[in-house]
Amino acid sequence: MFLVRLAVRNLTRNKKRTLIVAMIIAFGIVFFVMFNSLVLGLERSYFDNVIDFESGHLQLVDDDYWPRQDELPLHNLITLDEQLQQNLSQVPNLKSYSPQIRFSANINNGLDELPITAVGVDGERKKEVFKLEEHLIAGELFTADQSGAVLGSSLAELMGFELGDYLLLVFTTAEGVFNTLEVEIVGVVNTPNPKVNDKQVYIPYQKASGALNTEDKATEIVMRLESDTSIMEAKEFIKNNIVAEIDKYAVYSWRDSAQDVVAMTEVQDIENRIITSLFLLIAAIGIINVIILAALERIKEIGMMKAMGMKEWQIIKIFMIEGLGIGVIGSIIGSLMGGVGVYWLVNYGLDLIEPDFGLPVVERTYGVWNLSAFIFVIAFTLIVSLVASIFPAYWAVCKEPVDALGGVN
Amino acid sequence: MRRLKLVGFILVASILLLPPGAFALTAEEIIERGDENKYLEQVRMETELIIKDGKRELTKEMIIYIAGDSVVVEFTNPDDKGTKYLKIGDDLWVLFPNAGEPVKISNQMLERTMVSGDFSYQDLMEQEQLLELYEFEIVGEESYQGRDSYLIEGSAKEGVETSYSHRRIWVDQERFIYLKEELYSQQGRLLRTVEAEEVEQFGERWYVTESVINYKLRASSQTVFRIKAIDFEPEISEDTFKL
Repeated sequence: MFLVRLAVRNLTRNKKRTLIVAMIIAFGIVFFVMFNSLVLGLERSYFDNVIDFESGHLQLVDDDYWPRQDELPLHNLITLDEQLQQNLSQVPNLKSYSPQIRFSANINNGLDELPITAVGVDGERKKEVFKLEEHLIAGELFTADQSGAVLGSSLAELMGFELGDYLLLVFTTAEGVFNTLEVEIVGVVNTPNPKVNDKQVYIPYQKASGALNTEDKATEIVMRLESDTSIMEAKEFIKNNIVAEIDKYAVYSWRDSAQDVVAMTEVQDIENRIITSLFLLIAAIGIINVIILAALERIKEIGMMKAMGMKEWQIIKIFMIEGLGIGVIGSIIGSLMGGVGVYWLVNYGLDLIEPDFGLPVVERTYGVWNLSAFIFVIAFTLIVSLVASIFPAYWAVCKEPVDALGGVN
Repeated sequence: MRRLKLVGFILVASILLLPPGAFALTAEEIIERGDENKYLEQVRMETELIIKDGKRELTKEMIIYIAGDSVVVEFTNPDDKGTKYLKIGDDLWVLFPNAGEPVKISNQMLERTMVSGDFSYQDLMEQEQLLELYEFEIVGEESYQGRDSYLIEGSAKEGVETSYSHRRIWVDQERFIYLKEELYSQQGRLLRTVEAEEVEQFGERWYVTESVINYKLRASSQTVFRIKAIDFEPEISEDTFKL
């Protein structure tokens, strides 16, 4: 207890030094927890954007369609017949499902044209599966019996389209015959997903099906579940009850359909780990450096303690308790400051990503709370502070008291 | 003898009194003769493509080899030198000079315009004779570019894969050249026109050596396709069509 009291006294005796070292540790903790919060928030945004605007939670497709889906073929399509509807209605935790037909087209304004992805959707069902309606900035989402087109705001701006204008889609049918479709623009959306804003046009499912000669078949049936946690259960159910009956069908989760995004985030995750490791290494070197300097400054004091009969291990212990004390003070300050920073990120977010960054997110990036990041960085700080104090203390106590008192290094 | 004269007289009179259209060609016969001029089993052409879009003008030079249903388009102008398009069967590939592997042009790319011009990759893919793809009927006869021509309409045959569901063709009555073609979408919208600007005779064959293609959905856009040299009996090695 004496050693603890002595260590605490040493810490309070040099308030300025203790505070400076603790603040260095605290800023490290703040940086770490805020960076971690932002990275996880960014990742969450990517995934939400894929689920909310591209793939839903699950997709039922023809197995031969799946490997070629990027080419947007109009072969190996899926028929949503009564039997399938009945089976789908039994999927556990299913909120809604919607057939859609995606196809490659050129959007034309009479002066020029651009390649886009057109999506034939049932407007009513779409509302329940995707979050398009929440992001309408003009007009409305068409219903099942309505005509019209909904397109992304960037695409509308680029092509000079406004609500009520007619756009022309040029595409080839399932048989490879050129066809055109003139549709009135009834809605414009501005979503957090740049793919939707820049490259997609939604038209009614029946209209698309008729123009493509696809006989009411869909490229996929997109499903939205009540929560993210029920994906595996629903997937298993579909495998066992639908795919087992129609073996040319297959079910894929949003992770399967967004492999590019998942791969990108995995790479990013590795980058983040490297950055974090470097940061922790620098922080550890900082802590070690500060404690070494503190030990050097007090070399005469150590000589004095030895001359007064203090044992070597007791001196080392004092240094370790001091190191731990600095670590605790730094962790408390850092956690409080980091908490405020993360709160700010969670509620107000940051403008981080340029629209052309290549990842499906354009809006402000919001942080997320991650308690494990706090626990990890505090534990790391305490261990480093503790371990870092051993070496300089050991080095100092190895000196003869005469040498130490004489200031011989 | 008098009886023989009478029979001869009746025969000549019958021929003269036949309605004017009795010896006229059918739509299929006209297109067959047109196809005979237009479609080549084997050829090597040195060509020029002039793409005009508003004030912008882009010239590309190419050597084209055709053998059966295989086509190679090799660019020779400095900017694109070495770039090749290769059509083998139903697949279209592009080879860039500095890239190792050829790249297959995906289905979704086929409907897009080729080299920013007025025709699509899919147009390059279509090598079949028109008679194989469409049912034809003569809808009129009119003068086009000062030449008497048949106006023929074609509707895609059922079950046959073709890019345009409907065509209108002005066929030169004397040379059986397609003076103008209008190409329509399934919905009936005019997508492209192809007009013959220069026609030359090579032996018995008449061939269009300069044509103008207009993509009607893009304002102020026009592509001129000019043949600078043509060899109808070239020696093309098999390696030309290898990837």
